Amino acid sequence: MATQGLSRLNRKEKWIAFIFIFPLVLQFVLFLFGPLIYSFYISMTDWNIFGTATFIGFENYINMIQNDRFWRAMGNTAFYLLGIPIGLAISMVLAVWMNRGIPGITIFRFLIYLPVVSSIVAITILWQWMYNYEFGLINHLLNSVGINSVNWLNNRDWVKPAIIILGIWRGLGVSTIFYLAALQNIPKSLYEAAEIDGANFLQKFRHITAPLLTPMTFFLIVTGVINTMQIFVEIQIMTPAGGPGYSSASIVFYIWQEGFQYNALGYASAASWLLGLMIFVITIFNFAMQKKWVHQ
Amino acid sequence: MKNVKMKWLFSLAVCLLLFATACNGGADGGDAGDAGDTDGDTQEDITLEYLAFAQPQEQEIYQQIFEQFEQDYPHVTIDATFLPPDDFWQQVQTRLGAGTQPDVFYVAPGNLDLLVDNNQIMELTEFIEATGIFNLDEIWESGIRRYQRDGEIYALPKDVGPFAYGYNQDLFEAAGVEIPNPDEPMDWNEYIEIAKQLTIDANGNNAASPDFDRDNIVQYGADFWWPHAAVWSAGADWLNEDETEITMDTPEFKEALQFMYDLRHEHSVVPSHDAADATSGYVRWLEGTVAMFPIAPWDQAAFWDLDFEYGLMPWPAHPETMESRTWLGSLGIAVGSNTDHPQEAFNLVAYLSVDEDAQRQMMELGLQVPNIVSLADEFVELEHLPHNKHVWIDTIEEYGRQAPQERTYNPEWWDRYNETVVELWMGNYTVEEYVETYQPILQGLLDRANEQRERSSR
Repeated sequence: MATQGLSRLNRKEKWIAFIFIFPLVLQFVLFLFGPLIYSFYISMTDWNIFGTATFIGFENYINMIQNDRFWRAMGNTAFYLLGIPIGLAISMVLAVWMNRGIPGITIFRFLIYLPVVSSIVAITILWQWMYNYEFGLINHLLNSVGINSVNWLNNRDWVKPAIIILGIWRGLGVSTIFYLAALQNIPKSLYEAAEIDGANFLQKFRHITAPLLTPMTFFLIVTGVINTMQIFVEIQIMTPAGGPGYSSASIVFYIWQEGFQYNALGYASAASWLLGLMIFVITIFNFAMQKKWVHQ
Repeated sequence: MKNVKMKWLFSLAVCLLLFATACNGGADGGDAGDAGDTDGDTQEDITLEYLAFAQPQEQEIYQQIFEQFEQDYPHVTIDATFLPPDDFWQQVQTRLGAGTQPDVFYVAPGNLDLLVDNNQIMELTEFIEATGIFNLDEIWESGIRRYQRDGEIYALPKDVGPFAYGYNQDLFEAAGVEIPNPDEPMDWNEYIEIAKQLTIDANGNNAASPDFDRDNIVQYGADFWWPHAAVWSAGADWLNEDETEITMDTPEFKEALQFMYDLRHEHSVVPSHDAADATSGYVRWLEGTVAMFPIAPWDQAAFWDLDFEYGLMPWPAHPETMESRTWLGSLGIAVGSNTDHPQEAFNLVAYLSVDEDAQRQMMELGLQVPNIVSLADEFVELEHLPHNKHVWIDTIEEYGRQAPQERTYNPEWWDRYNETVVELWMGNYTVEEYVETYQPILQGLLDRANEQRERSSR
């Protein structure tokens, strides 16, 4: 008798729970899942946004795979991923340093987080000036130590590193704050035990800090990859044509250009699907590799 | 048990009701303007939605046009939205794609075919023939022609944008160079000689001097922006008549490219690639460190505060053809094909395009050359600089051509041309190599644009 009552209560709770999540499910279906499926259909058509869409099967996908621009944009995007490990290494060092309670830490924390809450457009325009060939701050600094000026944004070899540097600078705030939170969760007793055993700072970092930060590193890598694969605004503002020889164009820039500049919405949808698929595969891969290096 | 079920059903009903109201509320808000009251004598109150982009001064003038329009047509209210120029086309695309067309909006000539083929803008010919607001021959013919398809007119010009060649009179006088003749183009050879005398290094030597130091130039004879003027004057073009072929491999085209290449690499009279990246020609012109620079009418207001005198001349011409050629831009105003009020929408287009007071104000504020032919004399006589404003009028009537990328279904080939030709200007290719390498690639992109056209018009 008692068990039956409990299961009835259970069932009732389930329904109530369902009502609570129903609006969210509805929103997901209407504004996310629906458009997602529809965009897959569009990717199989020659839709130009206004006209009627003719079904053309996988033609867009085939054309895309044969298009050198698509692959160049892919290659550029892959290059941008290099910024992730560099950024994480810097922010880990910063976090460890900040965690030691240095004076003026609040100001420093504020400064490092400031880019995160600033408008990306404003930041990009600012950096565009810093990268200016003749008057930019960066070339000015390089000149002062005897290095020749670099035409950062109009040189095939330098435009991607320039954009990566901006990305790292902009991302430091978030990853440092996350690392700082993770550091504060590491039990002090571990360090005390190590100290009793005579471990120095580097040994403690290598055997305690770094391993215990791996879950946070994992999280930051996964989100970093997803964000970097979708980099767009910096590129559109700094290099409106996709850089010299298309050397800065990212995959989202390519999609935007095809869809909204050249009216090939069907083709652009196909590229979006491929991008989504790639992000999905990379994320699965990240999770699969997790067991090998992330401290559980 | 029953009670619980009832409660559940009730909650669901409330949810659905809320949802339905929310959706419906949105729809009602959308056409609030249409819901005006009517009586026997007056027309039904309507709202026209107008989507455009404009400089702040322009917006003020447009506001006056709207007020005038609303006085003349009391049943009409204008709901105008001005977007940032860079967002405009994307907004129009999404609005049209979603089936929520504005009644009146800007159309770039390059998008005209796409919009006509997909039945997004209304044919205006019959309205033009019937209207009492203006006669077609009051507007520049070259401003109308590009909005025509198969004899029908689909938009009226918001403006026409002639690019003339400007000269900094103070620099000419300082270098002892004769002021250019505004009515006869000089030829390319004369131009190069003049540009050399006006290009000066840090030691004060000009580019014609044997001691000239090309690595320390402080004043340039000219800006590098030359493409249309050089190619067209040489008798060449990027495209053939029916836009099916890229025609860059003609001797004339190569000669034009070579001429531009030499301006930079042979004569050093224009900024180098790196120098041009660091400081745009526009900034150099404002600073007074470049002697010749392309100028369009909308630049005037910004140039009034310059502390030097300047004037206009026709673009220098190829020595054999002696034909001065340049780009004549334009932006059109069109009526959405789904508008519920075609007549009122057309009338608004007419006001925006040819209202005499507004056109006069625009020209007096230095925003544009008037669209109305009869105002040209008044415009040319205006006090403010530049000298020789009639060169703009000559450009509209004679020198100006429509940009090649406006004639194709999308500008992808043109974007690629501009992106790749930089390699030539940097000196990474010879003209011959450049044309040989990129002609087929650009042809492929043009084919793709034409394929889009075919699909679209089917």
